[in-house]
Amino acid sequence: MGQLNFAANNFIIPNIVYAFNNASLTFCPLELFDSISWATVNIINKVAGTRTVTKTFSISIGLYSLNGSSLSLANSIFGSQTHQYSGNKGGYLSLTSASATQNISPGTWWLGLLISSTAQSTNLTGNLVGQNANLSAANAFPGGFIGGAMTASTNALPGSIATSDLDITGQDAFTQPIIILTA
Amino acid sequence: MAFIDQHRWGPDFFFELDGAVAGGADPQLQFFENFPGHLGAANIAYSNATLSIHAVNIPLSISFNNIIALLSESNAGSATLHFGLYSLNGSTLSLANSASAAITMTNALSWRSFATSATQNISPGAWYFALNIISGGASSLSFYANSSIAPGNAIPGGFLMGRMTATTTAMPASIATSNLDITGSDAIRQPYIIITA
Repeated sequence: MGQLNFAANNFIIPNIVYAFNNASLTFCPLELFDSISWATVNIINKVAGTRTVTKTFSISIGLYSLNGSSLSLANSIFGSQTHQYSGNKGGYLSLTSASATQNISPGTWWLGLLISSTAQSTNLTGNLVGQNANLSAANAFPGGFIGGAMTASTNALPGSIATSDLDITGQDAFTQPIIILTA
Repeated sequence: MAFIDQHRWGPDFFFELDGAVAGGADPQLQFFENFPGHLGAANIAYSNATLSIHAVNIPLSISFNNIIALLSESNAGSATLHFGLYSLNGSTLSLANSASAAITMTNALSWRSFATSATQNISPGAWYFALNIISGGASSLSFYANSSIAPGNAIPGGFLMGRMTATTTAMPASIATSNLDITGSDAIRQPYIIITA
């Protein structure tokens, strides 16, 4: 198989902005049909609100593999960005501080997204651009794992986590930001 | 990935191509969805006992284990859901595998899981997903489905999607594509379907 120059969890970028849950870990799938290096991960954020304050996003993304019902951390990447609010403002945030070099093999991987921000309040809200799926079924997703969110807050990417500990019911569990990998 | 097995080089410089990736197993998907879930447009009422079928390109192998659809159930009642996995050879669709679910409606938007009838590792390539719902109360049950446009003419080129014009209560072993309606929104509407390994 070949080597990809870029990959994304979704190439169709919707005009949807949603507030993330501070210090909450969300898992979304990344399906790769060829290999790509784990070097740069881009995400789109946006600040909205009414106060002129500085806001800093700190974003960690964990690259997890799923074996049975256990997600295991294979790699991670980190970045931060500071906004001075002046109207709705945002842009790409490029994460380049990978914990280790890795060439990701084809197959299904899981991206664990953890964001913490200063001044995450009703007057100044950090948002992500992505898909706010209309998958608000009343029951938990049956079958294998396709994504979910931790219900407890955390300040670090766990080394492993059981999918049974993740919320897999309702729209919040399946909300996914646009995440773009470039080699 | 194709690679040269050097142990098979002979005096005539004979070699073979091996389809497996270096290191052993072919890569596997852990799930496949026929379209990204957020692109679903609406919950759309189905036509009772009318089989609809559409093409998908499955990029890597995946185990035929769990079939899942999202249904809007507006009142109590029962229905039987049938899923068929077809391959296409020329103009004939052939049933490769199937799954079904007998449900009692819950008056809610619900994930529904189909029980598969046989194990299979679906190989990469073009496959065709068929769905048929049998219920006495069609108006009370809808698919979560993608947006469907309604062109005035039939889909040109190779077969992509369509639906049977005659009702059926089963997944036929084979279907001639010439027997499928391929014109209008009803023919090309696609319910949201996920396979998980």
